[in-house]
This record gives sequence, C-alpha cells and structure tokens, in this order.
Amino acid sequence: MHTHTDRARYVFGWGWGLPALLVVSLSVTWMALGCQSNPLTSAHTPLQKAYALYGEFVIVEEQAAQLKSTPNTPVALKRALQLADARAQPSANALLQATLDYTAASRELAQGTGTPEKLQITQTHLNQWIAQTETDITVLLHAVEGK
Amino acid sequence: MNAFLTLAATLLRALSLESRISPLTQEILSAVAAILQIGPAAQPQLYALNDTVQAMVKADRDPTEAEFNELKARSDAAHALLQSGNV
Repeated sequence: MHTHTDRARYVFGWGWGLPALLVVSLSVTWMALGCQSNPLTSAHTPLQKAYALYGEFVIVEEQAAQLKSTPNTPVALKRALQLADARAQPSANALLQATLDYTAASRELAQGTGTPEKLQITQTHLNQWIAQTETDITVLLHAVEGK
Repeated sequence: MNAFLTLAATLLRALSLESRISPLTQEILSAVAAILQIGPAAQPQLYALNDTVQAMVKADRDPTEAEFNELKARSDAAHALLQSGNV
C-alpha cells in the first residue's frame, strides 16, 4: 500500500500524470486517425485496463526511442525525450508491479497457499493505480479538448 | 501530418495555460509534441494491442503474467536505448 506521502506525490506531483500524458497523446492521435476504439476503451476488467494502459505506455516509449535514434533529431529534443522517459518509467513500473502482485495473489489463493485478505489488498492497490491513471487521462483529455 | 502538428500545438497550448508550468514541464511537453508528430508510425502497434485486448475480452480472460512480462521486456529495451549514450 502507498503511504500518505507516496499518495500525495502521485496526486499532486507528476506521478501517473506523465505516463498518462504520454498515453493520452497516443490516444488523441488514434482518434485523429478515425479509429473509434482504442485498447484502453476496449478493456473491461481492471487487469485488462492495466494491460492496455501499460501497453500504450510501452508503445509511446518505443516511439520515443526510435525518435532519439534518428540522426537528425535535435539534441534538445533527445534530452527532453530522455527526461520524460526517466520520469515516467517508475510510475509505469509501479503499475506493472501492482498487476503482478494481484495475479500472484490470485494464483496463490487458487492453489490454496494464499489468503483472501492478501488478494483483497493487492486488488485495492491495483484499483487505486487504475483509478488515478484514469483520472489523470480524463483531466488531460479535457485539457486537450479545451473543456 | 499537419493535423498532428495542429493537435500537438493544441495540447501544448492548453497545458501551457497552467500557471504552475515550469521549464522542466515545458521540456517534457516538447517530448510529447514530438511523439504526437510521429504518432501515425505507432498505428500498427496500437492496432495489434487493441486486437489483443479485444481478444481477451471476447475470451473472457485476463492477461497473464507472461503477457505483462513481454511488455516489460519491450519497455526495458526502449528505456535502455533512450537512456544510452550522451546526447
């Protein structure tokens, strides 16, 4: 579980805001291309949403890496890409860890080696991450739409 | 491509209205704008991810640890490339 300090950092600092900003950039592009659905809106369960979110983040990260490798990319932009990635990846990794903790707790419970309490804790943790991310993305989408 | 440049500019303009915006944030926004401009190149990966998620929904199943770890490996590779060398 997050401490209050951690929670405050996620809510008031960049926290998941930066990964969400990167993901929403891709989502806006996706919508501009005329694609009505995207991975995040296709997902139904919390784990599917976590997979879609993390997957979109990875795609953005790969695009950034490709851009950084392009010889004619300005140095200032390469530095900006490095900075954005360095600040975003810890939050993305935390989301991934929350999903792995939840799936491990589910497996242990099914095998009779885990407890419902542990599963409940990991599920709450995962839901907090997803809710925070969805809030960040909604705020960013509204900003883009000028609301 | 002009549409994506417009979108990037809109995004930056909207976020730049935030009075708390810092030079650090401006740098990050420039990275976001760059990603927007190359967004169409990500279309095949987005289609593939969307297909995977839709297949999970159709099969009424959640992603496995292996599927998450596959994404993690891709992230690690991209991260290593991004952070490698001096620019």
